[in-house]
Amino acid sequence: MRIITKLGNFGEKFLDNFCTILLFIALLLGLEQIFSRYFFGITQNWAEELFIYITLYAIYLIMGLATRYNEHIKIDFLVRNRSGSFKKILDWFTEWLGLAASIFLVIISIKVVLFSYGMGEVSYSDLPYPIWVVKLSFPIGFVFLSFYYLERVCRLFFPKSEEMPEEK
Amino acid sequence: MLVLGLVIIFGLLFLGVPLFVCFVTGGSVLNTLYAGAPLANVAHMMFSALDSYVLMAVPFFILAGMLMGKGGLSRSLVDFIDSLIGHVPGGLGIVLIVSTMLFGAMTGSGTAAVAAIGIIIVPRMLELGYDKKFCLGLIAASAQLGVLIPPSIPMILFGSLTETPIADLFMAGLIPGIMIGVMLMIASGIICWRNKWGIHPSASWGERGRSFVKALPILFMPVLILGGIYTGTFTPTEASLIATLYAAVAGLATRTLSPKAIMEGGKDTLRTTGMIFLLVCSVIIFGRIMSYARIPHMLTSLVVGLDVSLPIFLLVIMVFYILIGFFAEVIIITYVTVPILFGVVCTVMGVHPYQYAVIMTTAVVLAATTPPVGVNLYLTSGLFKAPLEDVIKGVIPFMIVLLIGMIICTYVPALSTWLPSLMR
Amino acid sequence: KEPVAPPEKPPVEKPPAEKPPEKPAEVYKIKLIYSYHPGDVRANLAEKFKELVEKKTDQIKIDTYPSSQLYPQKEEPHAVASGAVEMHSFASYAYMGVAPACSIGIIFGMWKSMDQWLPFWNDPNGGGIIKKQLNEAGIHALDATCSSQIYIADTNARRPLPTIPSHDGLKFRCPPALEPWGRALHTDPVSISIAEAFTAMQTGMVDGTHTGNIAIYSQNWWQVCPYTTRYGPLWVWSVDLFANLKWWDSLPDDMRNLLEECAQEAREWSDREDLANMDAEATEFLQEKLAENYLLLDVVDPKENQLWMDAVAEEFLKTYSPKWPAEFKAAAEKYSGFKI
Ligand code: NA
Ligand code: NA
Repeated sequence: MRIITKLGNFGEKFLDNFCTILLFIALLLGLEQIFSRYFFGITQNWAEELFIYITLYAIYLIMGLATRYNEHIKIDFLVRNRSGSFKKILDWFTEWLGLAASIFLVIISIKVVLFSYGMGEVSYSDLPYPIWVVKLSFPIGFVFLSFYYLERVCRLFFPKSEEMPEEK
Repeated sequence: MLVLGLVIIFGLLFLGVPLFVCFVTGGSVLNTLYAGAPLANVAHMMFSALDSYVLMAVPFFILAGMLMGKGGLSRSLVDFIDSLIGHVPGGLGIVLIVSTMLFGAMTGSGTAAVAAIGIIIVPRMLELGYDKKFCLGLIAASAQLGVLIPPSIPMILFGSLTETPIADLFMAGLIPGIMIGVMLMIASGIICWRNKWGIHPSASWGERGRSFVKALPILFMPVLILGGIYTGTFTPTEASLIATLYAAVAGLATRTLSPKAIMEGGKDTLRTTGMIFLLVCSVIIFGRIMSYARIPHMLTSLVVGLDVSLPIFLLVIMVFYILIGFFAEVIIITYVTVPILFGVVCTVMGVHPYQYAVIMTTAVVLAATTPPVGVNLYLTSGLFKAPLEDVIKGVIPFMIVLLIGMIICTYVPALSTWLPSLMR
Repeated sequence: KEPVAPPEKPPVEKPPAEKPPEKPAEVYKIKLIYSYHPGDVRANLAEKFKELVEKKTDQIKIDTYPSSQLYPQKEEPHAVASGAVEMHSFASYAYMGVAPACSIGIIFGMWKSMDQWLPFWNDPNGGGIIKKQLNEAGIHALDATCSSQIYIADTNARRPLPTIPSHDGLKFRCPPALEPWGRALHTDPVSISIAEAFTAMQTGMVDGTHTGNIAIYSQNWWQVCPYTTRYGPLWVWSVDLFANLKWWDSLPDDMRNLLEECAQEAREWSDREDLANMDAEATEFLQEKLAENYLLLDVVDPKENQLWMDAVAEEFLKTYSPKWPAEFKAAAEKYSGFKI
C-alpha cells in the first residue's frame, strides 16, 4: 500500500508539472500563430494542429488525478448520506467498476492507436506527422486513470492506511 | 438492447457512480450489442469528440478566469464597483451582481466567480449586517450568469455540436445575461431595502478615481474579449488565448500575480478541464448511439405528427430543461439533449438556433442553483462553511427570478437574435 | 451477427403441410455515412444510391446517416476502415491521409475529359494503385467513377478578382486539403469550418472563400460577399463510395455486382442531372438576386483564366505529387498529357 501511495504521489507531481508545462507550451504556440497571422500574414496550419494536440495531451494525461481525489462529476444525492453496509457495498462496487472501466479504456484505446499505426494515417497539414502519435495520449492518460483507480481499490483493503491523500 | 443500455447508464448514474464510468459502461454495451460496431469504436468516438479547434477555447477561458481570480485583480474590481454604488440601500448586493457579471465576461464557466468574487464581497456584506443566507443565495445564483455573458462554455459546447458560429452564440447570450442580472439586482434591492441592511457612507470622487485606476486592467479585459469577438478581429479560441495572455501580463505587471501562482492556475485549469473533457467524450458515445438508433429522426416525425403550436412546444421544452436541470449540470444538459432535440426544435419547429442556445443556457444557469444536483450550492456551502440547507433557503428567491428570466427568454426570441443580427 | 443455425435433422415423416416456409435469404444491413447535409450534391448521390439498391433487391437494407452525425468528417475514413460502419460517401481526397494517390482527385485542371480519365482509372498503374493503397488501409473503393465539369468561383466582398495579382494578400477561407489553391494565388488561406465562414466573411476576418458557386448559393455567402468571379471550366474526377474491405470481401458476388452497378448509376445520375441542375439553379439564382448589385460571373479574360488554371494546378502538383509512386506519376502523365 505504501509503495502504491508513494508511486501515486510521484505520479501526481509528475503529471501536475509536466502537463502544466505542456499547457503553457500550447498557449505560446497558439499565441505565436495568432501574432504571425495578424502581423505577418503567415498562416501555419501545422501550428494549429500542434496547438490542439499539445493541449489535448496535457488534458488527457491529467484526467486520472480526479480519481485520486474522488472529484469526478457524479450524481450522488441519493447515496451521499447513506452509511453502514449499503454504503460499503456501494463503495466496493463503484471503485471496482471504475477500475474495470478504465482498464477497458486502456485496452480499446491501444487498439485504436495500433489500428491507426497500421493504417498509416498522417495528418493533413504541411508537417504530416503520424496520427497514432497524437492518439497515443489517450491510452497513456487511461493508464494513469487505471492506476489511480487501483490506488482507490487498494485503499478499500487498507481503510486505515496512513499517508493517503485526503478526499476533498 | 437499447433499453438495457439505457438502464445501465441511468441505473449506475443514480447509484453515484462517476458519470464517465456510467456512460462508458452503458455506451460500450450499446455500441457493441446494439449498434454492432467493434469495441474499439468506443475509444475512437471518444477521441474524435475532443479533436476540435473550437473546444480548445474551454481550457483557456477557464485559465483566464483562474488567473484573474488568483491575482488581486478581482479585488480591485469589487473595490471599484463598491466605491461607485456601494452606498445605496442594498448596494452591496448590487455590487456583488455587477462584479460577478463583469467577472463572467472574462471566464467561460459560472462557478469561478463564486470563489473569486464571493470570498471578497461576502465577508464585507456580513460585516454590514446582511443576512448570511441571503448573501450565500445571491452569490450562488448570480455567479452562474457568467455562462450567459460571453465567453461561455455551454455556448462553445452547443456550437461545436451543432456547427453554429460560436461568436454569434456568444452575442446571443449577452442581452439575456444582462437582463437577468438587472432582474436579480431589482430583487436583491427590494429584499435589502425592506430589511434595511447594510448602508455604508458614500465614497468620495477621489476614492472612486483611485479605485478606477486600480481596476482599469481588469475592466479592460471584457472590452478586449467582447470587442475582439464582436468585430471579428479574432475567433473565440483566439480570444481565449489572448485573454489568458492578458490576465497573466496584467497580473504580473500589477504584481498581484506571481509566476508560481500562474503555474498553480495552469494546474487547477487542467484538473478542471480534465474532468469536463473526460465526461464530454464519454457522453458523446451516448449521443452517437441515439443518432444510430434514429431517435432524433423518430422525435422529428412524432412532433410533425402531433402538430403542436409553437408556444405549447416551447413550454414543453422549457419544462423538460427545468426538470433535467434538477439532476444534471452543463455537460449532460448540452451533450445529451442537444444532439437529440436540435432537429426537432430548430428544423421542425423553426426556433432560431441562437434562441435555442439561450434557452438551453438559461437552463444551465438555473440548474446550478436547483437541488439536489446544483454545483454552485455545494461550492458555496463548502467555501463559506455553511449548511447546505441555508444556501438553498437563501437561493430560493433568486431561483424564482432566474425562472422568470428563463420564461422571458423562451418567449421573446428577439432577446437572443437581435444582437447577433447586428453583426451582419 | 446471428450464429448460423446447425443443420436440422432430416424430418422423417413430416407431412408436407407442416414444412416450414423457405428460409428468407440473408438481409445485408449497410450503414452508409456521409458528411454532407441533406440536399447537397453528394448527399443526393448517397440517397440515390440507397434508393436504387433497395429498389433492385430486398436483400440489402441501407441506413444513411447524413451530416457527419456518427463521426466527425476527418474520422470517417477511420470508421470505415475499422468496420464501425460499412460504407462512406465522400470525395476521394478524404482518403489522402491513408492513400496518398487519392490526392490526384483534387489537382484542378489536370483532366480535360472522361476520355482521359477512364483509361487512367482502369490502368493498374493508375486507378489500380489508388485501389491498392486503399486496400492496404482496409478500404474498398467502389468502381463507379465519373468526371464532372464544375465551375470554381471565388467570392470576395470588396471587388472582383479577374487576375492572379488581384488576389494578392487577401485572406481566404480554404479547407486544409485545398490550401495549395490559396498558395497559388498568393492569398492567405485560413482554415475555418463551413459553419464559421459566413460570420468570418461578414466581420472581415476573411475576405472571401475559395469555393464553388453552389456553396455560395446554398450557404448564403453571396449576402456578405457579393462579388463572384468565375474561373474554369475545370474537370475534377472523383470516386465517391467507399466500403470496409473485410465486409466487402465477405459479400457474395451477386451482391457486390449489384452494389457496383447501382453506384455507377447513381454517380451518372448525379453528374448528368443533379449537379447540372444545381449548378444552373445556383447560377440563375445568383444572377437574378444580385443583378443590380455587384455579382460578376465570367468576367475573366481567357488568357488570365489559363494563367490561373496553370498556377493552381502547378501548386497542387507541387504539394501532392511527391507522395506518389513513380509508376503512378508516369501513368498520370501519359493519360492526362500533363507535365508532372
Ligand atoms: Na462568461
Ligand atoms: Na440542479
